[in-house]
Amino acid sequence: MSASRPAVRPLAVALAALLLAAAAPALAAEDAVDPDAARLRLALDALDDDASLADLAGVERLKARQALEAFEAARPRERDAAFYVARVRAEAARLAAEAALAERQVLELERERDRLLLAASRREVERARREAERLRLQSLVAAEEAERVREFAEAETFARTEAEAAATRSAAEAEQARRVAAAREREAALAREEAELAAQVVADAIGESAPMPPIARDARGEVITLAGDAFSSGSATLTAGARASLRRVAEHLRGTQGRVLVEGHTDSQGQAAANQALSQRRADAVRAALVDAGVDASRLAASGKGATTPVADNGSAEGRARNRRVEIIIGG
Amino acid sequence: MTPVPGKIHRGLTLFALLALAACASTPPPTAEVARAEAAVVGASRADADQHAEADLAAARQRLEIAQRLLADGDNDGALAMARQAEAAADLASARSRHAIARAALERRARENAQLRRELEENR
Repeated sequence: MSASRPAVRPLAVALAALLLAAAAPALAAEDAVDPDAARLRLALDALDDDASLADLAGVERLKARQALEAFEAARPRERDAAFYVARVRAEAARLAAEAALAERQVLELERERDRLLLAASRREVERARREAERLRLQSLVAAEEAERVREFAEAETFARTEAEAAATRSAAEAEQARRVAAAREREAALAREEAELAAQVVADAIGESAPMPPIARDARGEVITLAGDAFSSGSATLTAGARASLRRVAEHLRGTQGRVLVEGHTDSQGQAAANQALSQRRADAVRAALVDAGVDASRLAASGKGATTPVADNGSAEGRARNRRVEIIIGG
Repeated sequence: MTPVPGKIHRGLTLFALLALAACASTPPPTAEVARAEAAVVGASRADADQHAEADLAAARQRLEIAQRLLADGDNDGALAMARQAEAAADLASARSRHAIARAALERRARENAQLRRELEENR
């Protein structure tokens, strides 16, 4: 045992020397300032100093720092590979930080977009609210007008009752008062209908409302005139619009009493017999439509007058158009 | 001979042998190669084929070399190559993510500007 010791000692010393020799260049390289390493360190420091990118891509920055340290500690034959990794990691850290910043900004823009859309929809709601308010006021005005007319009619009715009670006035006067009152009531009813119509508009009901044909009053009583365009040319078939108008007329008739005469008229063009026949068929069609719409058939009579009773000059197109008509006469 | 120098003797011998062993052989870098593979998969999943083609190609090339060196038993070479491949793949991912985020940012900025204009017009 003690004999072998002198041989082992030189071997150990040699090995230790070898180890030191191998480690020496690495220690020397660490001390010298490598330009590549300095450049990468500068880039990473600049990234860390960029306040706009603070706290972003922490993992990538750490990996880049570690790669740089590995490069600085690398043995000569590993330097190229280590430099590649350090260079690539430094670039990746910069890109990852800028990407994270851009993603954060995208989120901010999305929030801004939400705010803009909200503002737009608020504005839209406000506009719709103002429009509804405008229509509501309109219908209110119409309703007030209807109420005013009704009160006036009531006053008239009161006057009529008083007149009857007095018994000093003539029957004709009383009848006249009754008619005026009835007319006022109808006027009030029409105004009420108009108010309802305005309310319908507010309720966004788009449904078509047919117009009431014009009403006149002459010696025969109340006369509702249906213009010639209620029929297609030469036929006794009512148009859809005319049918709708006649439903309004029927509503009105249900509010009256007495006989109703439906008279068909044509212009003076063509044979008198043909005109008479056409005017009769048209009068019949109107009568049938009124019965359909709920007017008591026993109140209704229809006759065709042909071209015998013009209301305008047959010499002009306009006059002929006015002569083509159906009159609904409500007797007293 | 005193017993003390004998102890120093044995300690030095042991240290030298261990140090030599550590220098001589690197264990097979299977973990590093696997990490590089995962990084390449992650990069292609992040659409790097489209936005960072060159970086992804570099990563794939280095990964193939690393796999071959690993199979050939060149553990040192495989380790170095795997680290390069992983770094290149991470760069490809970062570049792709950057390109996608920048494009989204520009699009959003344009859309918001348009929306703001419309709001101004309808005022």
